[in-house]
Amino acid sequence: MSSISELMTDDHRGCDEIYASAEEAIAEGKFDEGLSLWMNFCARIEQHFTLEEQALFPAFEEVTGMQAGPTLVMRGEHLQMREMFKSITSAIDAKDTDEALGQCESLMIFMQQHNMKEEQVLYPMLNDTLPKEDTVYKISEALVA
Amino acid sequence: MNRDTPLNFDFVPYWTIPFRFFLTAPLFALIAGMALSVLGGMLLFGSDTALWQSRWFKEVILTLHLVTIGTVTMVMVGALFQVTSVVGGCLLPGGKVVPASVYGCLTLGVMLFSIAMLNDIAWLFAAAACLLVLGLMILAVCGLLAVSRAHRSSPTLMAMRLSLISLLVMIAVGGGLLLMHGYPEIVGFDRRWTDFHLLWGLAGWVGLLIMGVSFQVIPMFHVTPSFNLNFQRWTPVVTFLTLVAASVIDFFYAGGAVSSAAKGLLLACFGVYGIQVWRLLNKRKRKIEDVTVMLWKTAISSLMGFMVIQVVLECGWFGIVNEKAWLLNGVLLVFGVIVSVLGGMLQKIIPFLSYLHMQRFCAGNFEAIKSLPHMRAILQIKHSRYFYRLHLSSLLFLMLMILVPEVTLVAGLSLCLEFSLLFYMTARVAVMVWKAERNSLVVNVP
Ligand code: HEM
Repeated sequence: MSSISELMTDDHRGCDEIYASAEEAIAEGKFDEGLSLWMNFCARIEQHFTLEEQALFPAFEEVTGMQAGPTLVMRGEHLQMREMFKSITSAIDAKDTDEALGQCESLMIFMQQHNMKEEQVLYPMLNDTLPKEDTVYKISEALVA
Repeated sequence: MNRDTPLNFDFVPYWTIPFRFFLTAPLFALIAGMALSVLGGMLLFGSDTALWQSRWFKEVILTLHLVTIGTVTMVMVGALFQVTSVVGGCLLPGGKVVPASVYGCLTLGVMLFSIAMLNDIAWLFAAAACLLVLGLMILAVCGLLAVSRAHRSSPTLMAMRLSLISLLVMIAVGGGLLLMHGYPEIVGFDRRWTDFHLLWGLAGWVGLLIMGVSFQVIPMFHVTPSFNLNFQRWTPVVTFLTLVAASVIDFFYAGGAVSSAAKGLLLACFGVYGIQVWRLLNKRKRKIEDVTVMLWKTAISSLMGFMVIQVVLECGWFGIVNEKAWLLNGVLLVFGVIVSVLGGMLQKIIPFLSYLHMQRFCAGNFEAIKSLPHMRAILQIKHSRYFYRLHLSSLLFLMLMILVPEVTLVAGLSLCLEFSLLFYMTARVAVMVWKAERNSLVVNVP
């Protein structure tokens, strides 16, 4: 059975792939296709954030008693990324290639940093603290690709 | 990791710490370009100058170190201050004093190195040796401390540790070489140490650090699959052990078959690594134009060229055993491989760092964050494209220069253009960050 960390990391990679295809479409000037891929990406990411914020983080906070620890930082970054999604959506809507790609690049950098912190620090901690079978089941229920 | 330690994800060194190194690095390459232009001009219009006849000419050692210390080491040191916080969750100890003293020693040290080489002043060689050894020793010791305090271990941290150990070896011998130039009658003049020094500098300090950092940044910046975990674990260690063996064997049995074999093995380590990087980059999900990827590919192609020439040289095929081939290979390795990789990394690190810091100045104010310049407004893609083209032109002219010394002036001018542009690009971003910080102080202080 895959670990919590593996499943969540795989989901990051899945999101990256959709992101890359959206970005490619925008770079080629295919805005309609780009927008639909982009919305698809936002939906996938939202699913991932929701799972973390509503199931995994609260469970972790309860077990460890760390309310103001890493999960707080991660929640803050989720908020920030949601704001970035909105600006990118309007840039694609406005068919502004340079603005859209520039903002995408900013998001990419921000998101990769965020993922790295989760994958290297937080997810291993989840592996150690949460009941494996139960949590893995929850994850596979929540992340329908 | 220790579960009781509160996790501080926001451990980032103050922005001027890495930026001062990134801003200074292009200036030394610019000086190297000017030096080449002057030499080339003298050759074309003046006296009977002989250029690029031997690896031992002072102008070779001088321009080489303007680049290897002034530019390459400068960028790597700046990156080290930054990278340990991202990959290890730890900062180099010593607050602002350590970066300031490393910076001072390095900058002043390279200048004295150059002046000493130009004018053959014994005590300047000694002064340069003291400064460079002191500065880089502080860096290596603080770096090793930081790595050992990291929350967890990783192949990247392991490679960094080995690279810093190599730095210590390289710098000790390098200091000795300077004294050898200043006081040959006391120290003696044994050039086996030069080869020892260059192996540890190139394969150890530079090669292993690039390797370790690339394990993190290639998947992160280009959305490629990760390097195979066993590959990450073993390549730096095997490379390091091969380096130890090759340098010692070469010292005692230079020119023999065993020494050639050991150096060949060391080269093979980097060859395998290069192929691995190329394969990953081809698998990248992001297909949009990316100057960093082009620079990586330039570097790997240069590495392959270097390997071919090196094999021909070691085997003595085609009777090519002359000094020109050695110098040509030096250009390929230092400028074609190393400067390309670092130039490419800068195209990512500079916008990334500046964006990160400007975001922090906004202190969570979403409206302010939204008004920040985006990545393509920070480093303009057209500037990066020009940089790439100028870099290719410099590389070609530098190689040509070795074969046809009359080209030296053109090569020097190309270098000057390339690095003036890089300086402008970096300075523009630094001003942007500085303004963002000033504005945030105005807003946040009642
Ligand atoms: C990244 C750092 C460095 C690299 C890659 C590097 C590389 C090299 C190379 C390739 C040579 C041989 C030149 C040739 O064959 O013509 C050399 C020679 C030399 N290096 Fe370095 N070096 C580095 C740093 C230093 C430092 C920090 C010092 C002084 C403290 C130093 C002092 C010297 C001296 C004096 C020579 C000339 C030796 C001779 O004339 O035989 N190097 N270096």
